[in-house]
Amino acid sequence: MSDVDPELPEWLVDAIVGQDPPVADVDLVKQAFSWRTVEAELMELTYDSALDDAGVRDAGARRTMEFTLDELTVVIEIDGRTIRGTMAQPLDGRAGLHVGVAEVATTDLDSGAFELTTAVSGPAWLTLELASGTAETPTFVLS
Amino acid sequence: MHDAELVDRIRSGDQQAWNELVDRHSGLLWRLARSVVNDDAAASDAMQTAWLRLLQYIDRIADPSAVRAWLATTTRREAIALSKSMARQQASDPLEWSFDEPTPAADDPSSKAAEAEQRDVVLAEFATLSEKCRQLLTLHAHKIAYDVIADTMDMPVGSIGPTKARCLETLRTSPAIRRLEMV
Repeated sequence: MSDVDPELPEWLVDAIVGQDPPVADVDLVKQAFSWRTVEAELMELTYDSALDDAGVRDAGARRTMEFTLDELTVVIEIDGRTIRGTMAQPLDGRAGLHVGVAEVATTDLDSGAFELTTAVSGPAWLTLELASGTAETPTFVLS
Repeated sequence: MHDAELVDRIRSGDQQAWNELVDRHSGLLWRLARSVVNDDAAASDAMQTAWLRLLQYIDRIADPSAVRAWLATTTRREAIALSKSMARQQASDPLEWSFDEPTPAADDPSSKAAEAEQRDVVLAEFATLSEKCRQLLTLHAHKIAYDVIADTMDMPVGSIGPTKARCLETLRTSPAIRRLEMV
């Protein structure tokens, strides 16, 4: 058995740290500073099945996330590039899915429910336009 | 300039501060994500998601000096979610998903080519370790403090050293790594 807490060998550190992210992907993050103007109220992530130990190991489970803002609660299920959402309140309004700079899908709320599908993957977030104002979810990955 | 100062400047709209913070930590975040998903494009998605989420939460970060730990935790979580999604797609797709072998540039000088070849061998073996080992060794390679690693990986501080030792031992039992260590 080796040391209880050994130093990493140089060849391993060099190999790990020698991997660099694609420059274009880092540049996109830098550009996001100028186009990412938040005009909506940010919802809080209150549940994420990806953070459940059981969920992490269950490859068959879809990702479920819950977001809240004051009295507003929405639960979404991510199934590939389709998002199904249900709001605790049967509100009218509009749901939008954003990937990068673009709003890639939009739909009217059906008593608080919605379904959005896109062909685009990447960092994404939802906006909910309601009579009381616009709410926005934190960013999540759409694969 | 410390991270906390950069965060302060970003809050007041300083694009250069944002660029500096992104340049400073994107390598760690991408490598950490890659240690989870074993895929370059998915690692980029997880890294970008963490950065975009930081932009959303920039005014709410309670301890700006701990922004690197916040980013690492967020990246890891998104990478785990992606990994799960990829596993589901793989389960429904009979095609074998495999580790992307990095290819050294054809015009590398011979010494650089040899280094690149060695790195490829190490990374190929590294990719066969468990997800937990890959994450742990990646964070260690960046000299991240133990308490931060414990928080990021949700594991007791006392188990980090022994786990690291087991991961290294597993790596060193590989014939390819044995040959490399004998050189």
